[in-house]
Amino acid sequence: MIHLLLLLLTAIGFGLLCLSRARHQSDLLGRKLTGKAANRARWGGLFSLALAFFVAGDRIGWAAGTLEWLGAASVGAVSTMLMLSLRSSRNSSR
Amino acid sequence: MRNGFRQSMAWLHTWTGLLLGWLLFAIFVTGTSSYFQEEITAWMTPEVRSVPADAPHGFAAATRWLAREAPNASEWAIYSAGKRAAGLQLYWANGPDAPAGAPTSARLDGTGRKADARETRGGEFLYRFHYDLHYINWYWARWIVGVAAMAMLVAILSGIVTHKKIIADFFLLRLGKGQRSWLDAHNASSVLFLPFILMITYTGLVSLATHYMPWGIAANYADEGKFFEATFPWPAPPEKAGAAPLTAVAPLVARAERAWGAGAGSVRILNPGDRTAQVIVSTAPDSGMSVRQRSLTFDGVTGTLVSAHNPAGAATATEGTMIGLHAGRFASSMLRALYFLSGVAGCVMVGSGLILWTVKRRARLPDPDRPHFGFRLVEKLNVGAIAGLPFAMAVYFLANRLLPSGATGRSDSEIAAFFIAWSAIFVWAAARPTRSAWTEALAVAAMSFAAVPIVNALTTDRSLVASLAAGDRVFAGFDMAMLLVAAGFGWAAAKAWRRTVSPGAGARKRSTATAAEAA
Repeated sequence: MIHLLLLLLTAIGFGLLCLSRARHQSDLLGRKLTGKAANRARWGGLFSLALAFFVAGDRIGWAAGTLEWLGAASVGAVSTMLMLSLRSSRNSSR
Repeated sequence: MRNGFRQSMAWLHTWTGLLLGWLLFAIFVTGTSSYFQEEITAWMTPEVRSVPADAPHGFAAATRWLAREAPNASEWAIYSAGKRAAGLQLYWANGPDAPAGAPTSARLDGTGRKADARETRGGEFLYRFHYDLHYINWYWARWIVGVAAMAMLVAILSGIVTHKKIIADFFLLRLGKGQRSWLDAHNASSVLFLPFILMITYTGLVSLATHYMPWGIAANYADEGKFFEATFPWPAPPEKAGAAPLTAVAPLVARAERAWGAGAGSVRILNPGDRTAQVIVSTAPDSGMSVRQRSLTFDGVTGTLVSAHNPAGAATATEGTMIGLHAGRFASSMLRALYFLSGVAGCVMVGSGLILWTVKRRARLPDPDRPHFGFRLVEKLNVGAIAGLPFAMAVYFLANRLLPSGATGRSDSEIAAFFIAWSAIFVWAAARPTRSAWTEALAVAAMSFAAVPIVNALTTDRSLVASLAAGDRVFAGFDMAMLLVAAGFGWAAAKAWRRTVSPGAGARKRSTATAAEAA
């Protein structure tokens, strides 16, 4: 369970970070976010990644937890990248 | 000036990466497979079934077996690879009265019975290959691997400098765009997995540091043997003094596990059945993050604790933990899966980098239909390394099932099959046009991986269906992983095939341009 939670938190974290980037917003949402909303997405994303780190350290132990957090972060970033790649190719073919 | 620096780094990245890329790819692939070394060994010895219930009882059963089969030995040793191992490995040193050809090793299954497993090196061959290579002296092999790892470190650092937009392009993966897509895949696999890739390269070098830099030892110890004696004590059995019954082993193992709060992985018994008997219990390889093992030595007659070995110096702990991080033996199943995925990302990084070298240069060739020798050589080596090595691994697994189980030198034949298959792809790539060679090599790799579960079902009673029904995660997982890899190679083969029938967008653009010029 804890492992799934970590993957979820890191995927949300990188998803929000991706959303805070002006160049990806129209691919992901179909519109641009306001500066304020983009800021909120950025901080939300960072918070989610930080939360995942503390959850991992607290539940798995700081040594193995840090490793698992790094691994989960890589998987979260890759899943965000794949989602973005899928959405932008769909948008461009439309 | 800054641009000049970046350009020189790009040059360094390109050429260190290319020169050692093929070897690095092989090291990454076999190393990544080693995260499942025990599972591969279990699959390759289908005769060994159950897994030991708990260490004290497993070791006690093995001791009883040894007392029956090798009562006059001067030393018994029982090894377990930890929680994931199937069965125990036994070694013993026969006494002077034993005949010359008497056996000195055996494998027991979880119930303490001798397992008549087929002779195979199993996952250990792939593990050893990733730093000792094969058919060449291990001393020089480690130097070659070390040079490759150092080149890797150079390529990573110069790659970071060369990559202009790490943050801006962090999430970018543009598919179906030729060179752009290869570059994105190369960047994504390295940037998103950078912590792992840096860690694995650096700790890989650390794990062989005493091999590369023996001067620290030379300055402090009379010879290397003295250093290893002090670091990894390995007492020899003393002169025998007269018979005395051996104490029960299970309570000693249980006591050691309680003292450490970690599992026991090996028991050595010196002079069993003698008054001078000693029982040395050591921690299991998966019992902690550091690979340096702790051990307790007990009197073999009375069972009292004689001494404890606990390598706890800061430098030893750091080194042991770095090697532990590299090998990941301590990892839980989730962390192991993440290690494996990160390793796959490393393979993608090296493979896409090698392919990128050709993709980038093909567009600039004076005559793309007749490239110069260097270009062709790189292309052929790419096919042989990237499609050939995985194919060789599938053949290794197939050979394990197809070679007769009683044949002499069986494990060597399996390894020979591996290298014959691998060389065959190099020969094939040299003989065929490169584009067709890619399609054919990838397709034959896909078919071989798909054949592994089928041949397994035909030659053993542990088919995928039977394993799923029995809830056997190791066997079912192995077969399903083979199918997954087969699907991946099948997809790649289909991609490569489509490119041979209708050449890529770049080529089409070029031909329309020349047509326009002609008109």
